[in-house]
Amino acid sequence: MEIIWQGIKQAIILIFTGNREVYEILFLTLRVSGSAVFFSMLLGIPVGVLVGLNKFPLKKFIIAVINTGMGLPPVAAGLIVILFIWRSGMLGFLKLMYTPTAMVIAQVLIASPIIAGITLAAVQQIDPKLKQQVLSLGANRFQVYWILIREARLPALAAVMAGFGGIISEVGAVIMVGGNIKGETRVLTTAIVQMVRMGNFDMAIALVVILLAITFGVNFLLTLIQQKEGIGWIRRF
Amino acid sequence: MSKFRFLKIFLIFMLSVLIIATSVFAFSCKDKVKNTEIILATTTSTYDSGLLDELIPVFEEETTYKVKPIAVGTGEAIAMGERGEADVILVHSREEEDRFVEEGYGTERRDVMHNDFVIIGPEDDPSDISGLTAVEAYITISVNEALFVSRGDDSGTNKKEIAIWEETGTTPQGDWYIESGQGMGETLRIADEKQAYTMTDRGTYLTQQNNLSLVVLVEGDEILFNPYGVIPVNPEKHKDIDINYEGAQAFVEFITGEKGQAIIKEFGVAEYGQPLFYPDVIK
Amino acid sequence: MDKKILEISDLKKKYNSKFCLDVNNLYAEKGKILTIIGPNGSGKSTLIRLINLLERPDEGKIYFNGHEITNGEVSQTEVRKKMAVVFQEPLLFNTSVYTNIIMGLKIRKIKLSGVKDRIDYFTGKLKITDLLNRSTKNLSGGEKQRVSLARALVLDPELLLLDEPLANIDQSSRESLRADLFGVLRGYGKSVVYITHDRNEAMVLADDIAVMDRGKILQFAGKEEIFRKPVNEFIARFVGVETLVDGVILERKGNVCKVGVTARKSNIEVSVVSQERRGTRVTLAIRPEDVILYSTEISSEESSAMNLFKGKITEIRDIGIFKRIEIDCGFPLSSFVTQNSVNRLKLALGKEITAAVKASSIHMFKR
Repeated sequence: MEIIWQGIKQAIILIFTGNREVYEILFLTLRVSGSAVFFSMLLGIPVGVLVGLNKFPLKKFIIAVINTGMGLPPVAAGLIVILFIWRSGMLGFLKLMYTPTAMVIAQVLIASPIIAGITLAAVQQIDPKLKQQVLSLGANRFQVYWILIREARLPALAAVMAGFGGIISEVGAVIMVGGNIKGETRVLTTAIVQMVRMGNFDMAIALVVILLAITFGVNFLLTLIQQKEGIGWIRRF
Repeated sequence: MSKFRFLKIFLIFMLSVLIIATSVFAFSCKDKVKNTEIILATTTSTYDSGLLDELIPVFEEETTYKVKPIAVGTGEAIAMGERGEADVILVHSREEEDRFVEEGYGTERRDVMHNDFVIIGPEDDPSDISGLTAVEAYITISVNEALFVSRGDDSGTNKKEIAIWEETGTTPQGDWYIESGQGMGETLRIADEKQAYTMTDRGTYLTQQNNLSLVVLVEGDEILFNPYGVIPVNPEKHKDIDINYEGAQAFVEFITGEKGQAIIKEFGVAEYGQPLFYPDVIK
Repeated sequence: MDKKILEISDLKKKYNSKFCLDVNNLYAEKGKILTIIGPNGSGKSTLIRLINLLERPDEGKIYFNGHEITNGEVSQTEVRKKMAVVFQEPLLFNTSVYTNIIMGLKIRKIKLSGVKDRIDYFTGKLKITDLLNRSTKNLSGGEKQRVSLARALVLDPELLLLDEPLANIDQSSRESLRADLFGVLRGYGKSVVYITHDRNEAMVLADDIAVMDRGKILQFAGKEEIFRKPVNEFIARFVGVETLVDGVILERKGNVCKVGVTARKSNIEVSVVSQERRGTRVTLAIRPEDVILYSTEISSEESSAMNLFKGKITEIRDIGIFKRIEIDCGFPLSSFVTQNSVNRLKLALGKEITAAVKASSIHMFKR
């Protein structure tokens, strides 16, 4: 008990005195997971929409692949990435091992199927006749997709939240491909592991507090956006 | 355009976006310049002591190299060296190190530092092992079936522990013998929790002391000697991989050189009252 | 060609496992309302989708403003931009009412500033001005359909297609929506194709009517002609003919035929204005509005009708303003009378009554 209380006290001090190590870790985490969620959206949402709204051969198979990807254990994603980027791997020449880039790649691999899968499910809920209505209003192919994505914007946002949540709290893949190198590839989760291992509980708790604050903060913000029913907001569209 | 074809084209487009984006990201990192990066494979106990966090910045400042210390179990560190995934290894498992060089995976082994292992346990020492030799202590523990936590992870510490068991002529088995499968820090915590006996390197014990109720019961035995060796990975074995041999050598020179050795000698003294490691080159 | 905004020629399309749409010739004139009536499953919705190029026909051509739109060359999107469709379900987007209404304008890149008047006009006419800022989520079915209609109308399309817009609205809302919608359409002046299965809607709205069943057009003519001269029993029943009897033309004098009708006891002769030949087997269609009732024993001075049927009243049914009287005069004959007439003639079940029907009011078609 004493330790926990001590830890929390120290944590507050570390956070508010702008401890360099803590903030280094924080910003790296945001950079890595932020980029990862951005690219995952870029990849996941179009895939979810296209697969959901079109008929084509092997559609069921692709949906199964996406759903499997959603449940992919993060460490599996980490292993897959390592096999490509380590020195003896196909992409070894890129020297991506133990870099933030590798971490972004692994996180994209984890988050994209989540985003694609949820968007896909959301889009399939849309009344199929709505597409006809949109076409009859004179929309070309791209306008149709744009409008239908907007129609599914709330679940799509939920998809992004799920994807972000999945990667910011992930530890296994990110240690495998990043190496947890201080100042380079040490993010909140991996730093917490290291601090605990080294017995540095104050720091560990501080980092946990920050991690929780971020996760909660981001989710709170996105939830506000998702649930807001006000006139002003709707007018914006 | 049929729907299917559109889908394929779009997917390919998205994939290219992804690849281009990551490549741009990759190439924007300065260390992609050839040979600036040194991957150092070492053990978790070595890293967790915090020594490398002191040594590496000094080394980096003096040279243009960037060291990436990857802390894994001894077995994996050596395996990384064998695969050419590391440029230099720093471990504490003499037999394995020698084999590593013999088989040509490493060019040369050099002494860096040493410390020792200690057997720790609950303050009241129920099995009364205090002051015994390591082998005697193990026999006693085994006979009493006293709780003992092992690393169980193929690490240098673990290999030492197994070597001692071998000397006892018995194999530890049973509910009293717990294998944590984790790093030294975690193992110590488990032992503390269960008020069990365990063997640890002194360095980790010192850094974790404040969090533990366990005390040192057996020490000083020759068999508990724990030497660390540094070995550059042999580039000849990996013709198709870009091994930073120059960098590895520079690092070896540094930690066996005056400056590096001085840092090792001083490390931890202020905080723990005694050094965690004893340098081998200077005395 | 100039006057026809839409023309359909030899169009064929399989639309379910049983039936195929097969339209030889159908057209809509500019500025007029073409109503297509038919029961469910007759292929009406498929027809709308084909016109709007949402589906391709198996065979045949559709012309819009004189140009063929079913060949592969024309841009579907460009054609659709000249039309607007309202479906049975409102199919709105989950944003505000206002955003829904302007959605078509935004898609077609029509400047909002230029059509502000139009938007105000239609939202006013459809009585949804108060709803503009609300989300579409909690609107009633009727309100949603009003939004859908406004969305289509503000586009000022060259051709407006309405696929049973009132069918899914509940009874209570339907009356007022119908009134408002028809109020807009009647003064509209643009070309409309209106699909329904309700003959009353057709009656009120249409300039021209096409009757469909099982994929085929049974009759395509102006409103009057369809209602006065349905070409078969199906259409007759559909357009509200209550009395149908079979018979054979016994003789013809001039332009009046004497048709022998098989009645319960004996043959009854009915005079019908027609050019058909003797011996033709026919069905007579008598609208209940054309059957005038008198208390028994009237002379030929009192009524100029050539057909006087005597019979007993077998049923008196309330249908809104009118009462439907069914008389057994050898065959069942239906008449609509006002409450006033019921009182005046002292109509009651079992009462003997005379029904007069003009030879010119009876419509006859070949069996």
